[in-house]
Amino acid sequence: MGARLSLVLALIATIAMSACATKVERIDADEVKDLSGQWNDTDSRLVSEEMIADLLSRPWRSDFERLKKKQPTVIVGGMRNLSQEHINLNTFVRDIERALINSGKVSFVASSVERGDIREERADQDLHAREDTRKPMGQEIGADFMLKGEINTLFDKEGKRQVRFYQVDLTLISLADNRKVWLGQKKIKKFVTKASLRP
Amino acid sequence: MAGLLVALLSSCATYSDWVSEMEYEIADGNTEGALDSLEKHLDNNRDQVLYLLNRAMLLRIDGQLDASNSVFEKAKALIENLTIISVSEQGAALSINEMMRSYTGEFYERVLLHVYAALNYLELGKPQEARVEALQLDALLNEFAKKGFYEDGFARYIGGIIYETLHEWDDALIDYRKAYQAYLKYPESYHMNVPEQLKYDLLRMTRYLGLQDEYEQYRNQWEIPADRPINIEPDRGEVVFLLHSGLAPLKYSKNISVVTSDGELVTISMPYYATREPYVTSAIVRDAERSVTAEMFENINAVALYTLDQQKPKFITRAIARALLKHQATETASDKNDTLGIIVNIAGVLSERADTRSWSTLPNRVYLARLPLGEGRHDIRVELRDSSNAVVITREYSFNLKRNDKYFISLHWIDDGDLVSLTSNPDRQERRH
Repeated sequence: MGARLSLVLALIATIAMSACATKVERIDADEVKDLSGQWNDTDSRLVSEEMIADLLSRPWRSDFERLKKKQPTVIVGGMRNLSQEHINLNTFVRDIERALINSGKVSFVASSVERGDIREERADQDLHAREDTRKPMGQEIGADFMLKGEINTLFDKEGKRQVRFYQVDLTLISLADNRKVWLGQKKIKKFVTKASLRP
Repeated sequence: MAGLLVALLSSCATYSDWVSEMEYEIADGNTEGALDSLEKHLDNNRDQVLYLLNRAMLLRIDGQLDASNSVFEKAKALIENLTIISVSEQGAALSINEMMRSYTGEFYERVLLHVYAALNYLELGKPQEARVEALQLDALLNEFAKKGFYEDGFARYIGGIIYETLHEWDDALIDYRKAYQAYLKYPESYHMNVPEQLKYDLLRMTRYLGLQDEYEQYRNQWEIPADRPINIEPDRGEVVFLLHSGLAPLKYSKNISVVTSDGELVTISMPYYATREPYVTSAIVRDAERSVTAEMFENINAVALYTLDQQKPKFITRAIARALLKHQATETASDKNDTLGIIVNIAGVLSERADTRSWSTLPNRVYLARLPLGEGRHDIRVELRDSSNAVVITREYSFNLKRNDKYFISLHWIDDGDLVSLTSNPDRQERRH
C-alpha cells in the first residue's frame, strides 16, 4: 500500500512539474519561423542581402570606378516605414549596412547620428590624448552616394484569409548631382490563413 | 454541489462592482494606485484585453507614453487572436452567462485603441509611427463599415492630422473628407455637429491643392463670409491641444425575473449604461495674441450608448436561449430530487449576469483645438471651464516649435465630479454598494 501510494505521488509530482516547466528550444538564426505573417527577421535579412547583391552588380559602380579611380563611398540615409506595421527599421538598416560593408566593394561612412559621437571623441582627444595618437579633425571622407529607401505594404483581407504584400524600394542617389543611379525593388507576398476555431 | 455554487457565484463579480475603487484613485491623481487596483481585480484570462486596454490608458494618463504603446501593441495582438470563435467559451456563455466569453472590445473601443496609440506617438514626436496607426485604423474602419458600423469622424480626423504632420497633403485631405462625411452621418443621439475646425481644414486643404470647385462648394454650403480669410499656407507650425474630459460611462446589469407556474424562478439579465457628464466641458487655448476654444470632436458617452442599443436584440436572443437551457437543467435535476432541483434553479438564477465589461478609462468626451504658431519658443495657457463656464483650472505649457512642425498636447482631466453616474434607467433596482 505504502509503496503504491508513493508511486502515485511520484507520478503526480512528475506530471505537475513537467507541466510547469518553461520550454526553451534554440533555433538557428537562419531558420525560417513564420508565426503571425508579420515582417520578421528573416524578411529583413533576405531583402537586404538580395537587394545589396543587386546593387553591387549594377554598372553605376564600374562607371564610378573608371571615372574616379577609387571605390565609391556610400552612406545609408533616411529609411521610411510607410507600411501598416510597426517595423523595426534599425535592424533592417543594420542588415543593409552589414551586407554593404562585408561585400568589400564599396567604402562606407558612418551615419549622421554616429558621426556626432565620433566628432565628440575627436574633440576630446584634442584635449586629453597624447599628441602622436591624436586624430585630426577635418579628415573625414565625404560620401559619394546616399542610399535611401521605404517599405510599403498592401494587405487584403477576406474573412480568415489574408494576403500580406510587402514592397521595399531602395534608391541610390549621387550626392554630387542628385542623380539616381540605381533603383532596387523587392517584393514579398505572404498568404496567411487563420484558424476558424480555438478551444 | 455546494462547491459548484460557490464557483459560479465567484465568477459573477461584475466589472462595474469594483471599478469605482480604481476611478477614485484616478481622480486623486494616483495612477499608481489605480494600476494596482486594476492588477488586483482583472487577473482573469477572459478579461485580459480589458486589462491591457485600461492599463495602456492609465499609463498614458501617467505620461508613460512609450510603455502605454507597448501595452496597446499587446492588446492588438491578443484581440486579433481572440476574434477567432472559441468553442468552450461559446458553450459557457450560452449556459452560464455572457461573461464567460473573452472580452475583445466593442467596435468603437477597437477604433479608439488605434487613435490613442497614434496620439501617444504624436506626443512623443514620432509622426512616422503614428502613420502606421493611421493605416491600421483605415483598414479597421473599412472592415467595420462592411459590418454596418458607423464611421468614426474623430478617428478619421486624427488620421488627417497625422498625414498633415508628414506633409502628405493628398492623404490628409482624403481623411478630412471622410471625417466630414462621418460627422454628417452620425446618429441623432450623438448630438454632434461638424466641428468648425474641420470645415476650416477642408477649406484650407482644398484651396492649397487647387481644388477650386470643391473649395467653392464648401464655402457656399457653409455660408462662410467672403471676407473671412482662409490661411492657405498648409505647412504652418501649430499646437494641437486635446482635452480628454471625464470617464466613459459604466455598464450595469438589470434583472428581469419571472416565476413560472411550477414554482421555478427564471431570470434574464440585460446590460445598460448609466451615462455620465464630464465636469470640464470646454477649454480655451491662448497665446500672447490669440485664443481658440476647443470643440467637441468625440462624444464617447453617446457612442457607447448607441453601440449597446444596437446590440440589444442580440443580447435578448442569447439571454432567452440561456434561460431555456437553465430551465431544462432544473427540470432534469428536479426529476431526480426536489432539493437538487431547487439548488440548480438557484445556481441558474444567481449565475445570470449581464456582461458589464467596458473600457471605462476612456474619456467621456474629447475636445480639440488648433492654434497656428510660428517657429521658436512659445508659452501657451489653457483654461478649463465647467458647464457654467466658470474657470476650473488653468494650465501653462512651454515648448519649442520647429519650422512647419506640429506640437501635440493632451490633457486628461478626471475630477471626482466625473465619477457620478446619472440614472438613465429609472427602474433599475441594482446599484452596488
